[in-house]
Amino acid sequence: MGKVNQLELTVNEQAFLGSMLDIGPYTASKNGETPKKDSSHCDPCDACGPDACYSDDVYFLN
Amino acid sequence: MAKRHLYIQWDSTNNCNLKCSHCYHNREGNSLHAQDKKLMELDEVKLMIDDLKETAQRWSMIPRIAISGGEPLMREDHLEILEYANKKKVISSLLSNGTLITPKKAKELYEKKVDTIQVSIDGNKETHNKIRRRDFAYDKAIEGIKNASRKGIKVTVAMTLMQSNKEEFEDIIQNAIKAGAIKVGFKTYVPDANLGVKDPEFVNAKEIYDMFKKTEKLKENYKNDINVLQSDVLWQIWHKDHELIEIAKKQNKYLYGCSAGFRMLSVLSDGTVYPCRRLPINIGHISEGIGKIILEKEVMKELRDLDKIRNNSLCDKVVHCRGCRAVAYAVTGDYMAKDPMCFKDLLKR
Repeated sequence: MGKVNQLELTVNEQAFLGSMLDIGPYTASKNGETPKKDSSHCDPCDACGPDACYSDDVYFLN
Repeated sequence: MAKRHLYIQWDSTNNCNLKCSHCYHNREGNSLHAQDKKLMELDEVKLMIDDLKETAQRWSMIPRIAISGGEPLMREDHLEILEYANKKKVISSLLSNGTLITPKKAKELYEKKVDTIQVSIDGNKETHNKIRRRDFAYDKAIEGIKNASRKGIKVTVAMTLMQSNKEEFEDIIQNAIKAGAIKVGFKTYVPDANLGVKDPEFVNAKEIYDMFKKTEKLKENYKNDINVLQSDVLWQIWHKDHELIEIAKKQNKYLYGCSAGFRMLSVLSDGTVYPCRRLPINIGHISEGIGKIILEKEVMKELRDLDKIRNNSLCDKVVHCRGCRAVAYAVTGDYMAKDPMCFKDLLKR
């Protein structure tokens, strides 16, 4: 996951973080479009990651 | 570089000036949410924010807190909490009913750099007031959205999709635009666990499918005026698979979709932790530490078991969907079961 020094992480943490795909190299996919790899430019999607496009915008209501 | 969010939805208070029919506080009853139940003190809240910041930093994630209630503006120290979150560079949002956002309050919130305010609107005026059980609820909420938007705060309008209001989403979009909101979306309703699919507000898979079809058109129609969100977890099965999904499938790793078990916790007003606000399973107390709870609690580990959900639901989309675990739990009593609102079979026809 990103730039964390893996040596500092416990085995449990490494397993947990390893269970999620490293989205670091990707810009976000919006509305099902193919995500672009390793964009160096900064835009709002890049800051939030693919998750944000889908699941973070509306929180849990009822 | 893209980073994941690590976030907490926190019930800052049990107090509220409305009495909404679908609110989990009312549903869960006074035994859990009695007004005199011990609230987290300011010092405890600050420790939680520190923990969120440090854990996110350690895991290379972006820390984010959504402050809910009750009505969060009824907690006296809400400005101090927002200020502290901002100082710690933790992104903060308020989940509010909007009725208490006066011009003065909007100014204060803006000055404390709240990132977003989500205001719940559940239909047109008549429907909203009926659901919220207060005659003033709609007008005051719209006024609150206007006050916040005028001040420059980003406002998202959010609806809980139920039988009572599923025909009114376009009304909500139009009124959100008029009030100055920049985003609008809905989340599916979690039925009462005692009623399951017999809950009169339950929206079934076919109806959800129809609603998504309609929303796709609405998004296009209103694209110049507002962002119509496609943020409910089931949108994952609507969109076509792409390269990143293929990579996640190949590696059998979580990509996105439901965050329960992975990078989200819900904290009640007394510090009790649920995996999600809509999944009422007590998994500990926030004082145990965010990292420990996420890594070590058995419920959290099980929620990360993609193979189990894949086998239960006979679905190959678990790396990017997994349905809503809370709806599965409410209807079947098993949070690892297939989401009863899932409409993927309809897409094949």
